[in-house]
Amino acid sequence: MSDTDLSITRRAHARTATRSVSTRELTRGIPFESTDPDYELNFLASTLDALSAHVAIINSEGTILAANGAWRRFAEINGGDASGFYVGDNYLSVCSDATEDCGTDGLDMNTGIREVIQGERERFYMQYECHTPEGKGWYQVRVTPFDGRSDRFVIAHENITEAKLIEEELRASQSQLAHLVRLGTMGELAAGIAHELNQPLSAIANYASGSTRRIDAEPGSATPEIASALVEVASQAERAGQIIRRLRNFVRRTEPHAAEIHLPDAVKEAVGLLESDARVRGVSIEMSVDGDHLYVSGDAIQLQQVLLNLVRNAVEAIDTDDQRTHGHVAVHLSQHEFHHVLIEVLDDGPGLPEGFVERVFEPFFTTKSSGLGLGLSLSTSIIDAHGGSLRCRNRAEGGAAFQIRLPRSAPPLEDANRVREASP
Amino acid sequence: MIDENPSVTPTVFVIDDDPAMRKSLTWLIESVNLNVEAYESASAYVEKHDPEQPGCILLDVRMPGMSGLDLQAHLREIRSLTPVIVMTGHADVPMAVRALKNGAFDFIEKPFNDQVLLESVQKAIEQDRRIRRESTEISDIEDRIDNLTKRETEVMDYVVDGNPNRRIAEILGLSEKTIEVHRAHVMDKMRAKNAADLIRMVLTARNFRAATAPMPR
Repeated sequence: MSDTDLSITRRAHARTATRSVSTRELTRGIPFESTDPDYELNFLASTLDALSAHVAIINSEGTILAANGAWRRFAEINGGDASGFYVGDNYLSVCSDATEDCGTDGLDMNTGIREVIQGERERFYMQYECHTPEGKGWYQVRVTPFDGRSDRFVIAHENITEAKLIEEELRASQSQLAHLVRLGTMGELAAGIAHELNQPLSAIANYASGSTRRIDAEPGSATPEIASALVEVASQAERAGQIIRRLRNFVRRTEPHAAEIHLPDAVKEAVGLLESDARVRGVSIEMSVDGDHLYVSGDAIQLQQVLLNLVRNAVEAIDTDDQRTHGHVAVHLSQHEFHHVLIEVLDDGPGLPEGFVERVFEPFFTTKSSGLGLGLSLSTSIIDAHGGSLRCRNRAEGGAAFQIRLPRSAPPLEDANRVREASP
Repeated sequence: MIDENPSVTPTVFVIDDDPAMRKSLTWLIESVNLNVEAYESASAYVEKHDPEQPGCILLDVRMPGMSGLDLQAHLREIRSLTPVIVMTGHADVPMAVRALKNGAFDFIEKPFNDQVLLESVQKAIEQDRRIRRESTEISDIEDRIDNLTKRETEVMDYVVDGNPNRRIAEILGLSEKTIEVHRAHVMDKMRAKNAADLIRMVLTARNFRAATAPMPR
């Protein structure tokens, strides 16, 4: 019987016969008391076979002398007889061949094992990736001299995929959390910045208006062009102030506030916040209203947040297409079967990818590199809370369509009176 | 701007801790030929405050140190009648309510339309002028009341309450003739044309004092 034919259990048997203290050392700390060497041997064999780690022993040439159950199963799965993982195969040459599949990992492992064999290092440890069509895989390998000998070495591979995936997920959620916190901080900063900006904007408006009034009081003191430019300065400063005010109102954290909302006004305000961003991206937003007295009951800021999400998604979807120089988003409000109001956001972008329609409302699902994947999931919760529904589909003519359906509510009293007066 | 007394042209007292706001407001308000005095803090204004100077106050509500609301409270305490327009950079409804409860004349959100601001300033100045005029009138009435004897004041109060001479005589245990004499003195000293005129004067003075009394805090 040659050395190479030994399985690790038989090898251990041979060793226990000569030096039974070795198994005792191996099982140190375990209540293991027996004078029967076979009993110790079976214990060791079954322990090694029960390990999920792939364990093998090689000699100085790299030839596999023994392997545990997990190693043998791995050899079966990875190419059967041709795998090169069997007892008697040369493990070092397997590692070199593996470079094709696993990048430079095989080469590094080869070098590491050689260094341990040559006594250049006490032990070798590395982590490596090995992705198969079935999924991603991570492993770690340890190479140590066997029982202090310089001609036998233990190689143990352990599958650490699960731990890696958890680690990866954790890192991802940490960065998402950090992003959320940054956004939250930004929100608070925005409120402060809005106030800070208000002061210089007011000053600009005051200077411009004061100048206009002086010019008006003294005809001929400035050219008509300068006079009209000053009027523009004042009105633009005022406009900037309004944008900031809207932003402040939107950012401010408020308790949900139920009220009768005139939907066209609320939608117009939300769309207004996005107009400049859309213009930069070459996307025009068109809003249309079909029907009168489109009121819903709920929190205006929350509903605006949903609108903002949908319209921004639409604008960004169009912008992802580099071939396009311009696009179009339509926001359409209409009455649906008297008791409902529909808000549709239609774009002419690339549409939703296959399989996207089902997953789009899941939390943390995103196709954007900078997105959190929370927008649509939050939007759904908001619409649900308002007793409505949020759906999406791909349009036959291309692009995506999102549809919000909300229960229509009665207009507030003063508006109802107007309706009554208007109708004969 | 036509004023009865050119030496007391109304002044807009701008109180804002932001120098850009002070300067730009001065520029804007001076463009409609109003006097402006700008102060960087509420306490700086209080130090220079001259109750005789007509005009109105344009006050930033959020300032370090003495806040706008603090200044309003102080002005009420010293019975200043100068109208206060409160400015804020925040769409802060509770703050607006407090300012108005404290007796603010108006509440304006920054950045404002110049027309809105200047209109408010003009109205505040008009109110200030009206109150100052009324105040002079009322001081006159009060001086005349002070000139009445104790008995005459008593009779006047009963007249103002709407009692006929006979009833007043009964209450005071005097003859109707005596009451008639006291009443004639009252009318004379108060320079009242008739009973209605007398009642108007006394009630106006009373209402004015009640309206300008410091609010319980």
